[in-house]
Amino acid sequence: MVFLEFNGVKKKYKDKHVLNDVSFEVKKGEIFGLVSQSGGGKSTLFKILIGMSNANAGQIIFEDKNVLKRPSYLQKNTGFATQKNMLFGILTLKENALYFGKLYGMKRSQILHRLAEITPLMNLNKFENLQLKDFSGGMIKRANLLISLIHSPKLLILDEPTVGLDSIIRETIWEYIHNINENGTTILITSHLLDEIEEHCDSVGILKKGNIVAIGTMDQYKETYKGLSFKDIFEAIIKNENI
Amino acid sequence: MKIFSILKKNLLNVSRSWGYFFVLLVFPVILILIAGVILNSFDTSNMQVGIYDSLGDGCSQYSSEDENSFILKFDNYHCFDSLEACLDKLGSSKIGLCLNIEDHGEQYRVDVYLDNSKKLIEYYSKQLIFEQVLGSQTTFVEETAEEMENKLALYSNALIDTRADLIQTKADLNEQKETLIERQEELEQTKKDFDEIYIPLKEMEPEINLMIIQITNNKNTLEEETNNFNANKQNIEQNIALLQLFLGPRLNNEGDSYTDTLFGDILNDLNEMDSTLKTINEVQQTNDLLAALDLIKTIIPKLDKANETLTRANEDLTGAIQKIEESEEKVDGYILELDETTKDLKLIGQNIEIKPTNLNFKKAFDISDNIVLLSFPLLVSIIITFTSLILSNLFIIRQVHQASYFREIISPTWDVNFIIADYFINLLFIAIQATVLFAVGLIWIGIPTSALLPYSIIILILSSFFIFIGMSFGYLIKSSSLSMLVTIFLVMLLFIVSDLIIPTSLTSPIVRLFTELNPFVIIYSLLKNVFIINQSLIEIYPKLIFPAFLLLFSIIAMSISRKINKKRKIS
Repeated sequence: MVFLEFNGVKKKYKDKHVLNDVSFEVKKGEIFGLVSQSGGGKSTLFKILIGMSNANAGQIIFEDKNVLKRPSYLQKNTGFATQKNMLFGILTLKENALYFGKLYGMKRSQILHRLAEITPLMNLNKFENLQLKDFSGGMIKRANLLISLIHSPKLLILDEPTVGLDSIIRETIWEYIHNINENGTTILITSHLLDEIEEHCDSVGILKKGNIVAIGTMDQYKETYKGLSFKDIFEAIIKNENI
Repeated sequence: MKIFSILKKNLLNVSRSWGYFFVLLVFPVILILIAGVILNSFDTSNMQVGIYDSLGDGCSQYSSEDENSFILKFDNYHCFDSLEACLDKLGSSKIGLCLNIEDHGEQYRVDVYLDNSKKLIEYYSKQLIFEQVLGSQTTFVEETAEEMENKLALYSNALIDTRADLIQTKADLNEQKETLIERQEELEQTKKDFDEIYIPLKEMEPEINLMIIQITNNKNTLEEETNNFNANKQNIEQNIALLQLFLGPRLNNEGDSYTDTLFGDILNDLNEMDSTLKTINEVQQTNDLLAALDLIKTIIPKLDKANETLTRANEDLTGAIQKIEESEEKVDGYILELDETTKDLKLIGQNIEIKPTNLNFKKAFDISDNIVLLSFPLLVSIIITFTSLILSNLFIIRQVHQASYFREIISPTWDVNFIIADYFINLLFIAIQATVLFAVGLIWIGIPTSALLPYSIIILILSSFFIFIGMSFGYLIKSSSLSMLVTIFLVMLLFIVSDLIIPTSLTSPIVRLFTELNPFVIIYSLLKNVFIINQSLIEIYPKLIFPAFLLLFSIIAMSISRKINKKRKIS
């Protein structure tokens, strides 16, 4: 069964082609990194993926279903988190969880059960009844991840999850991301911090001017570009259009 | 100077932001212009007057355009089949007052039903009626007097002109008459002179005829005698010559000379007699006399004709003079009649009578005069309108400017869920306010308990409309401060285009139209009907149809605004 596959996805705004025949596959259970320069089409691809924008052509297959025709299926099974706090600071963590769990069609008992499951994962089990406005920056990031997971998504999309954080907190966040992944959630992540991508992602796709110019596991990249860091590999690929 | 740098920075900040520019410059100007238009259109004659059409003729006589109109004339009036229908409209503020006009023969009875639920309207209604009555009466008198004066002046001028013409005609006739009399006198004198010749001559006519005959006879006789004498003379001369011849030889010289002398003397005597006869004949001039007599004879018939002509001319002149005298008498008669007519016309103006009008001011509604109760619907309307718009706008502004909003919109939840939930939370706060206001009205102001149901429905519909409009602005306008300012502007606009500044019943039709469409005015009008006039839900039900349409429109507007906002947020 195909977990997530982009198949010839095209998108253009007026006469500008933002995505040109984008095709790649994300395997179940992996951490897939998607990297590009600014304006590479990464945000557009994410918008299409979360059902907030329509593709002009192509398919996105999620668990053998074309989610471009059924965006709600992907929405129900996808968690999304960015570097921004997308929670209500006036509400407690539990209240946020209950609210967003409800938006995903869960029952209260299911939410509470799931909350009990994932709060230890994020080390937030002591802070369930604390208003988010009283959380520290790192705690808010974790809470954001936690709420993204409240409906037990099969796919977690993380858009620059560690941007603006110090290195210690970043490491902590990645630790939690790995915890989530180990619990069976596939992760699609973008970051401009290429060393983090190199360190934590199983597979990486490089997007350039709306085209996937390279895709493979980190081992494959290393094997191809022996002795180069992923940052150097990325720069080399971006500079050389023939690759 | 640091302060100038800060001022410059502030100025640039404001001028380069179209939102600020709009709020600081355009909005106040719009509000001022709208207020100016409303104030400028204020006129008591704009008030819509309801008239019970008791005669069933469409109330046309009350139109200010009807020249033969009744003493009360209105620019804006509505005709009603019944007084109840008129009072019903009065309750809905479509009209300012109701009139029931009855003709009681000697006077008009005018019952003026005033909207006593609006003190200001009541005051202006009275003013309008007084202005109309006094103005109409004054105008009527002025117009009548002016019209009569004009007509009298016209007739009087015409009469004066006619009189002058007649007097002139009479003078002309008199002049003609005098001329004719003068001519007649001259003619009579001529006739008299003529008669002096003609009559004797006419009398002599037989004698002249006889004289002609005698003279002709004498002439003939004289000629015969002369001829006889000449013949005798010649015979004598011949006899003398013969005698001389005979005697000459026989007589001596003496005798001869004697006889010659004698015969010479006889011949001389004969010659003298001949010359005497010639002289007689010459002296008599018989032919000339006869010619003269013949001429006279021929003149006499012509003189007869002349006599006849003169006699007829005299008769004609007499006749003409008589006719002129008759015409003069007629002209005198006309002048007399004109003088009498002028006197009559002067009396007409004094005989005008104005039918009195009996005005009775009545209260249209049997309601309390408690000013707090009368003001209560307006107070509630202001609170509900303001809070509904501002609260909902503020609520949505806070929502859409939170990052959590993005998490909400990417969740598999239909927009309608958010819309309904957001709407209900706003409605809840409005409901709390409305409940408190109703409780205050019930306990302290004395509004009837029966008003609860219609009050709730009115608040539900109108506050929902305001909530959705406030939400629309919240979604539609990016800047939170600008969104709030636009909402406040809308609130101010709604308040300005209402009875708050001046009674809209007295504004121009176009302003009134906008006012009638104003949801704030609608909610106030409905609440007034419920709280003050005690109308039931069934009675106000038709008036809720338009607000229901407004509500529908606001829901659509809000949905579109949310979609726009969502799109903007994702991009």
